[in-house]
Parts: sequence; structure tokens; C-alpha cells
Amino acid sequence: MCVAVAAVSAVFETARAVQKLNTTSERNASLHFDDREVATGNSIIPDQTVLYEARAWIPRNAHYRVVTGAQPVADETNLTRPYASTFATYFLMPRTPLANAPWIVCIGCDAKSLGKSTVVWTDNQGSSVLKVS
Amino acid sequence: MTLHSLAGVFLTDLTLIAIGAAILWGSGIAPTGRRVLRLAGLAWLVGAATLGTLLTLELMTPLPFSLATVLVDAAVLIAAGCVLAVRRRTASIATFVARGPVVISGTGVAIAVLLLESQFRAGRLAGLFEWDAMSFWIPKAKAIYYFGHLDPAFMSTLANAWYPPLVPALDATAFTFMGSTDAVTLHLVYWSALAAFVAAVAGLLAPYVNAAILWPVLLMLAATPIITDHGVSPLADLLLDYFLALAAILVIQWIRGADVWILAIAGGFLGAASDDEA
Repeated sequence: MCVAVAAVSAVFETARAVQKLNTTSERNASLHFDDREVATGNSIIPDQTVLYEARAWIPRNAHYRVVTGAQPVADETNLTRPYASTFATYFLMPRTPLANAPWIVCIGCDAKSLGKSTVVWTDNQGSSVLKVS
Repeated sequence: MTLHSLAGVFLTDLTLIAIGAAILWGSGIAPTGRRVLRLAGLAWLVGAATLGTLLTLELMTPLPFSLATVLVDAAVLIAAGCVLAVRRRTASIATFVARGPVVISGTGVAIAVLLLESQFRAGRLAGLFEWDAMSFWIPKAKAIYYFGHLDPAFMSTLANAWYPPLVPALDATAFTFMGSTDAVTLHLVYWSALAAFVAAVAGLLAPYVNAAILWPVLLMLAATPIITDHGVSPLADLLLDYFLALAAILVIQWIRGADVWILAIAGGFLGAASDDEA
């Protein structure tokens, strides 16, 4: 009896699992390369470009810090400000975060409060890459 | 996912299977080539447990993590297995004769292959959508790969810094063979772990459990939502479960009269499980 139940369950569960995995594989295959690489970050960082610009401008062996502030950020989510630093730590490696690092990934920060800084890149919508001299 | 990364996954699998096969051969659990083949899944997980544990111990020393370290470790473990094999201890694991109708075994294998093939397609182009993987598992693995060690200052910036580093060490090994921190293709290493587990359970239990019971239960397990949803996710949870489940199976076989070497393998799995996740 138990074997029969297990066998029937296995058939139904396998069919359900294969169907779900087919849907998952189609969804994954339809992702753009950038969306696949950024993945979770798409829910955190509103504009992927700031990540790629930070990766391009900040040297691989340099330190950086993520600074957030009260300035508006276009298309931000409720994950943006609390977790921008977390995602940047994953995405920008081997660059590592360090307090008072000269390179800054600014997400809604007030650049004037950072002292003498150069805007290396900005989307003019709240995200920028800065370097403090 | 590039050909280079795929080759890296293949080399990772090959290395782990070679280590595990040597240890199984040395312990007498798989004294013949045919049995090694039938227990290839168990060999992968034995290799993962052993190499992962050794790399974890080395991370506590000044020895830098690198491709050379991994290859030397693999060579040492394989050599140790071969030396043990000279003693030719024959564990009393049953001669492999699958119980139950062949048609049921064949059907079970076919359905398992279908499930694993679906998992492979789902995982080969999967992004890193798991929060824990993004927030600390993969950053730790990247730190080991890029810096050759776990920098306490960097670790303190990550969540769950106190978690044991077996999984990041294995991920870093895969990155080393891939030549890059390709978190997308890394999913295929976890696919290998899943396939290895299914094969290991089938290989270990087939002489003892009738196919009419073994395969429906194993397929139900392989089709559970947790495995369907996270079977190829770069997380530590399922690997921990694999280690514990196989340790339990091996302990039961020892209780039923198998050689004490099976207990040693089970102990290795339990040690790796404690090194897997807090």
C-alpha cells in the first residue's frame, strides 16, 4: 500500500517538478547577459549602469565605500539604501569595501558633504561614482 | 557561461571523483573498477567532503590557496587512497546485485535522468538570485579565490562570518578550475552534487532495498519542492543534507555487519557536515 502511494506520488511529483524546471530554464535562458550577471542586484540597485561603471573605474586592487543619503534615487526600492553596500561587496570584488576609501559609489548621497570630490560618472538620477581627493 | 567555465566544472568533477574513488578503493568499499563506477556518485561526495575539509584546515594556516594547493592536495589524497588500497581491506558491503525487477530499476533510472536533465537546463543559465549566496557564500569564495586566504577584516564585513568555510573553499576550487568567478556556471557544480547524491543513494541501497521501494521513494525525494527550487543553488543547505544522509546510510550498513572502514567514511561525512554550515 505504502509502495503504491509512493509510486503514484513519485509520478505526479516528478511531472510537476519537470514542468516547473522547464519554466525556470526558459526564464533563465530569456535573461539578458547583464540581468543574469546582476541577478539579485536588480532588486537592489535601480540602475545596473552604476555597478558596471564602478567596476570599470575603480581599480581591481583598490578600496571603495558605498555611501547612501537622503537624496532621491530614481526607481529605488525599499532594498536599495539598506542593501546597496551588501550587493556592491559581492559584485565589485576583488575590490573591497573600506571606510574612508577614496572611491565612492554614491546611491542618493550628498556629494557636497563628502568634501572635495570628483564626479567620475553620474546618471543624474541619484547614482554616481565619485573619487575623493 | 563559457566553454572555459564548463571545462572548469568538468575538471572540478573529475578531481573530486578521482579523490573519492581513491579513498573508496583504499577503504575497500569499492575494490574493483566496476564497483567504483557504480559508486561514482558516492566518490564525488567523498571527494568533496575530504578535499573541502583539507582546504578548510589549510585556510587556518599561512599556506595560500591556489591552483597548486588544490592539485597538491588532490594528489596527496589520491596517493593516500592508493597506499591504503595496498592493504586490500574488503569491506563487507554486499556484492552489487540490485534487488527487485529490472524493469522497475530501469524505469527509476530513466525518470531520475529526466529530473536531473531538467535541473541541468534550469541551472546552466541561472543567475545568482539566492540572497544568502549573494550576501556571504559567494563573497567568501571570491575572497579565497582572489586573495588566497580569508582576510578577517573583509570577513567581518560579511553576514554570518562565523559560518565554517568548507562550501566557500569548494566554490573557490571550482572558480580556480574555471579561471574566473563565474557564479552562473557555478550552479552546475551544485548540479553535480545533486546528481552524485541521487546516484550514491541508489548505488548504496540497491543491494539491500527492493527497487519497487527504493526508486519511488528516491524519486519522491528528488522531486520535492526544496530540491526542485534550490537543487542547483550555490548554498550550503543541501550539501549538508547529502553528507548527513549518506553518513546515516553508511552507519546503518556498518551496523548490519560491514567493515569498520565504512564507519570511517561516515565519520568523514559527519566531519564535513560540521564544517559545512553552522
